[in-house]
Amino acid sequence: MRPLRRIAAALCAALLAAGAAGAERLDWEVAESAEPAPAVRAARNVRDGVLGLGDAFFDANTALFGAFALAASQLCMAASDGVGLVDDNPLSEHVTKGVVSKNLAKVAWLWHLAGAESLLGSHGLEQERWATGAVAELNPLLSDEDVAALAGPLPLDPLAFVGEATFHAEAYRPHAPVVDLGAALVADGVLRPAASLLRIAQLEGPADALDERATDWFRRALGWGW
Amino acid sequence: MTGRSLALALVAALGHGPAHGEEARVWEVNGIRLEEAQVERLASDIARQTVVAVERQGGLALRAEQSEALEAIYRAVALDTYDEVVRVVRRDDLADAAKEAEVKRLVLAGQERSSAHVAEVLDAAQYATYRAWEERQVEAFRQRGLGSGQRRRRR
Repeated sequence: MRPLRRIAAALCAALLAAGAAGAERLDWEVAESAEPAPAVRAARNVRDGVLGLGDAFFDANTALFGAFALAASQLCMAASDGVGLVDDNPLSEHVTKGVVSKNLAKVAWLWHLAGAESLLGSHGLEQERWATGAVAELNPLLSDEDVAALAGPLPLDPLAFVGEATFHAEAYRPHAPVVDLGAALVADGVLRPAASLLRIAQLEGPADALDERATDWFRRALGWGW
Repeated sequence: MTGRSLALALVAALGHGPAHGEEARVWEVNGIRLEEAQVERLASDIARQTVVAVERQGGLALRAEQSEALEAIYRAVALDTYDEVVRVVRRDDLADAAKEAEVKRLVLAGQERSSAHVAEVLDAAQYATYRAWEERQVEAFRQRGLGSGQRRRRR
């Protein structure tokens, strides 16, 4: 029994060592030949198609939560501005100090942050934006204003929610959640699954084109939404 | 971590270069993979924004075909320059300061290449205005350190 246990322990140690060595490289650094045999290529297409379906499903979840959270943020902001008329007007502010409206605004900001991060976390947008910042740093012709434009509007500055104003217009952008929701449903509910099915059917070219188009539309939709 | 080493780390994280041969520009970003289409979009976005920056300069009045030509120039030069930058940043035999100096040299060389192409696209008067602005921007770039925080970051 003891030798068996030792062998099992040695096997585990070997597997752990192999895993640790593998972890030094990135998970997706899988070396695949650029020109595989037809059967391998077909198998890869099926694999990538199935994985693509899953990816679209998860991206849709993330984006839908983002749209929901942005809508919740706007509702909270509306409540904050409404309550602010009562607890933060020139007379009442000396008594109530706008405690309720300010806290509602903070909640609105938190929902906004969650929604913005969620939207950006879908469809690879966050890493694109992060990379854009690093690359823009190396462009002498771009000003701060240009870098900000490249970074996009999300998330809004906290002052859009808690700054001194009766009506915090920037925090609403009422069409954003609707546009984002529609874009997620079309891109992840229709286009990307269709691309995955095309890939499974070994139609790589059309699948790639449709996949790229879907993601590009989603990116543009975020721009339209703001 | 200093600003300089952070900036170099950022660039290094971007810098796994083409992952599958020279043709595909696929970058690994700090554990996140940028597919070729994303890299292409990134280059296009930056080139487009650079044209916006140029168009803001008074006295240039770019024609539509000039704007398109500039965008193509910026896009191509940026991708090539960035590939070179990546190779430098990944070198183990250089200290951070040396890497930063080399990265700046490469960026400025890329700027000169793009400027030469831009000169072919713009009229003489336009180019004089462009060149004056470009030199001011380049001088500011020389003065600031990479990751110096002189550029506003949203987060």
